[in-house]
Amino acid sequence: MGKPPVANQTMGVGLGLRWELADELFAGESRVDGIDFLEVSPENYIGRGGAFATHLEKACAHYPILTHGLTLSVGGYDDLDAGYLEGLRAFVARVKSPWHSDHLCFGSVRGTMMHDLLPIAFNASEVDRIADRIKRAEDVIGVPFAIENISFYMHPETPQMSEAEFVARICERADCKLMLDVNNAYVNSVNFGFDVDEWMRTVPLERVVQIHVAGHDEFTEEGERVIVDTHGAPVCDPVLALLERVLSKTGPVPVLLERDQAIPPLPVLIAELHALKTIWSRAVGVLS
Amino acid sequence: MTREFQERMRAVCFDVNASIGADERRLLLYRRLVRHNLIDVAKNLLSRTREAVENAKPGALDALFSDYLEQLGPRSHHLRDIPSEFVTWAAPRMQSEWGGELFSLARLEIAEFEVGAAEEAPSRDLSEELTTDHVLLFSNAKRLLSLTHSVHAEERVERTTLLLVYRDDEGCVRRLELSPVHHRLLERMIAGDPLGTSLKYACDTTNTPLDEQTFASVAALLSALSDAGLVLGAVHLSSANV
Repeated sequence: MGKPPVANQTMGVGLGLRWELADELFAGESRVDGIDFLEVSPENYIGRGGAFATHLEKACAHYPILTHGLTLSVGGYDDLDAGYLEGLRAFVARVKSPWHSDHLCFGSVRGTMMHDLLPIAFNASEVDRIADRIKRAEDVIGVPFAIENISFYMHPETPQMSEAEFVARICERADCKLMLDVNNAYVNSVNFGFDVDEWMRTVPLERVVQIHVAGHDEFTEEGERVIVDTHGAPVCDPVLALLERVLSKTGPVPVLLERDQAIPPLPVLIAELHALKTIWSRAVGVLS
Repeated sequence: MTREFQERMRAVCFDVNASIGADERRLLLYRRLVRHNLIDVAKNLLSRTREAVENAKPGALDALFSDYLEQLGPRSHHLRDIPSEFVTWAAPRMQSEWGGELFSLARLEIAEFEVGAAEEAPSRDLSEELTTDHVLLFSNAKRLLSLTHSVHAEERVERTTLLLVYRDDEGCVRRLELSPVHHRLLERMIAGDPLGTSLKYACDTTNTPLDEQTFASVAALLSALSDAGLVLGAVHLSSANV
């Protein structure tokens, strides 16, 4: 028997809380029109006071908060960091996030933190090992855990299955939720040449609790065209179209716009959120 | 195989001299992404140091950071800790290769960042009068520095510079230049010693008379720090738990 459904009041479209946006976000005494929720990375706030603590306090006062981690390293071989997990548990409880998400990747090697989302091998033994780590992390964090598909640029070894099948098996084995990054799926489909709609039919969309969208940039790497998930540009049209198709299947789940590089003024992001909200409403309306 | 790949990724990303096979070319992309992310944080949080080092020794900060990645690498879950980890690791080399002024600047810049971001101390009821048997409780947002150069001042000269870097009650990071006796006093008091013991130690180690003038200057210092929100209060030695 699976776990009970996630209790969630967070809906619509939201924005990642970034230092560069904080002054504009919290200039007034109320919520900025167009932002339904904020997502925060605990790593940026745990153990931090001063202006960071003030921003977080204001964020919690005005918006529903969703937490999204960066350094759990579920695909790594280092032991899960007990101190970090305890910190997450307290943080997630404090901001009342209905779930916590992190990435299907590795990010630490023998105690060295790489601070990036690095690719794992899509093979059967990794499914069991990583699912076990997810379950152990979820037990400590105390809320449902959602795993996010990453963008990657190489396979560590010849894959035994597709990424989508790997994601599906991980979710099933760990009985966890899915944080579906539509842009990452799109980026991988272009870089590796697969059908992203087929990918979406393979992953367990019924487990999706939240969706990420972002912009990417194109580079030439050793003479090859490669799209890199930079979070440094507006969301492109094919990703918006994919988002709408996906939302029409998942039903209403919160959609988060990620922007970490070349961050424009808040009104520009709000305009992008309005466009996302239109898509969100249209897609969800299709269901009803 | 998978574990070996992760080790390989670490080696390639943190050692720029690691060789890369023809079938591993995409590791170069990861090397660039990982290193850019880390170096960017260090450069942003050490912006004044970077500028000064670039003027005096072009490329020296990048080279030293590269050695840090290769020989130690980040240990913290928090990106913001990387510049501190770097400066701690590189301190002996910064001092010998960059000289006291640039090293002092790096230490000051790190201290200012750490103070600005320090977590608040838990609040306590601290209404007692201060006596020599009292321990002062301080905000977490402070660092005592002993630098070889006056890198906080308009004119940077070589002289022993004793600073208290702290965050005031309005959230501003401030620097207060201290006399030797005040520096030693705060060093002991921040470590949890009571006022009387700390004052005696400070005077003994700086050849300062324990007289009315010293009492007055210490009272003025502690009063100013209390007004700024750095001193949270006092507890009697018998009930101190700091």
